[in-house]
Amino acid sequence: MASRVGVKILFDECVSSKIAEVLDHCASRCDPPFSVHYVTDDEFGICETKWLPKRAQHGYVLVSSDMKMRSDHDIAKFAALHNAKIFLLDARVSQQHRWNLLKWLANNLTKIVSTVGSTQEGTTWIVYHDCKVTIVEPNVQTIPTTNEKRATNPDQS
Amino acid sequence: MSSPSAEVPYSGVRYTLNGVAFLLRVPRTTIKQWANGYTTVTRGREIKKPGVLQTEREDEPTLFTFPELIELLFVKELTHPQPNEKSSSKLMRKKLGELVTIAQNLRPQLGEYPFARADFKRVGNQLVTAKLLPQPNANVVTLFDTGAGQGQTQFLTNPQTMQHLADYADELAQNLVFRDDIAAVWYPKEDHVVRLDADMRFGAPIVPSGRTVETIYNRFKLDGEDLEDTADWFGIPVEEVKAAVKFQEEWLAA
Repeated sequence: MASRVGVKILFDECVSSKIAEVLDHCASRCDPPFSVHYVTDDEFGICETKWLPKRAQHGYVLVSSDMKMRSDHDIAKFAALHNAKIFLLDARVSQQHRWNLLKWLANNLTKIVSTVGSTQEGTTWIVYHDCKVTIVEPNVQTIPTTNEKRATNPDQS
Repeated sequence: MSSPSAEVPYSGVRYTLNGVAFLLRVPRTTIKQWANGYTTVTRGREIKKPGVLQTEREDEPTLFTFPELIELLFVKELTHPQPNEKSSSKLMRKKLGELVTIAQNLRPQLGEYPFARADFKRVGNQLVTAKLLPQPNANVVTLFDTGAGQGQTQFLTNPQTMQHLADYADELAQNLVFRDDIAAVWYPKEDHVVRLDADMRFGAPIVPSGRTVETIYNRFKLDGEDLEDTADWFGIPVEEVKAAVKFQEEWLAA
């Protein structure tokens, strides 16, 4: 089924792999059709700088939950750097019991799919319960990596 | 700008103030004081006291890198009153001042994030032993000798603070993994099940399979608090669900 469609939605553990499988079975009947995938166990076990850019390169759109522990703007910057498209589900979406979550996804996933088609690579969105989406602006400030910081300080090398 | 070791990727995603307050189990206002400093008023004059973390943070005072999170663990440990001490903001500020001095003196030798460096443990031990040795290590003397001592080592900070720092560096090293000389993984609990990895899941607490603790806990609570059912939902062992629930409940209760 996946071969028929353009937009490839990639869920992490914000939903179950079983839900992703069910949605994938139904998504090919949608207009426009899309496919639904799940982050593999191998990908869960390695750093995102290794697997996420590769997925992005192949057109996958990550759907994850919005955790306030990390800076959304930094995540948006990461997405922009790697040309990834990321949807962060607001807590009111991701923190529903499983039946309501499934209903919400069945009703709103097509809206996410249509949003994907009309925007450029490297964008991050937050999706709210009413399915309104807002673009998260990447941090304009440079966030040097630990290694880059070390490179600027020759005393440490 | 070229990177000397591309094998250590780093997403660059930082923790929010709320995130750090949750992870350290310390109020947000306290974290801000530790990290960015505070202002005191003495005889009508405002005096700005620096924070322990590097001054570059001034542009983004409420975001924290992984090494900064580790440095704040040291601040928490050092400013926490000892059994023979009374808790007071004066004492906390005195200790904070000592830590700022130590961090400032260590930076030229260890680089940024000195407390998060693998080398800090070694230096920390030297700080303690140097005072006891007839011929202290030259580097340590350079770091902490005021220069007025005619060959005698004079420490800029209380030796007890250094002892405490060195002891904690030993203790914390059991729960850290260093990559390229800097802390990259922190196990917040002794059982080493839940971990924070700077390079995985943007630094969120995760279980061994890589799923985030928060997501597992939320699903567990939302869907009837059934461990096996939650494990089945995520396709992970029940032990990981148990560990996630235990961690999140302990941290939320703090």
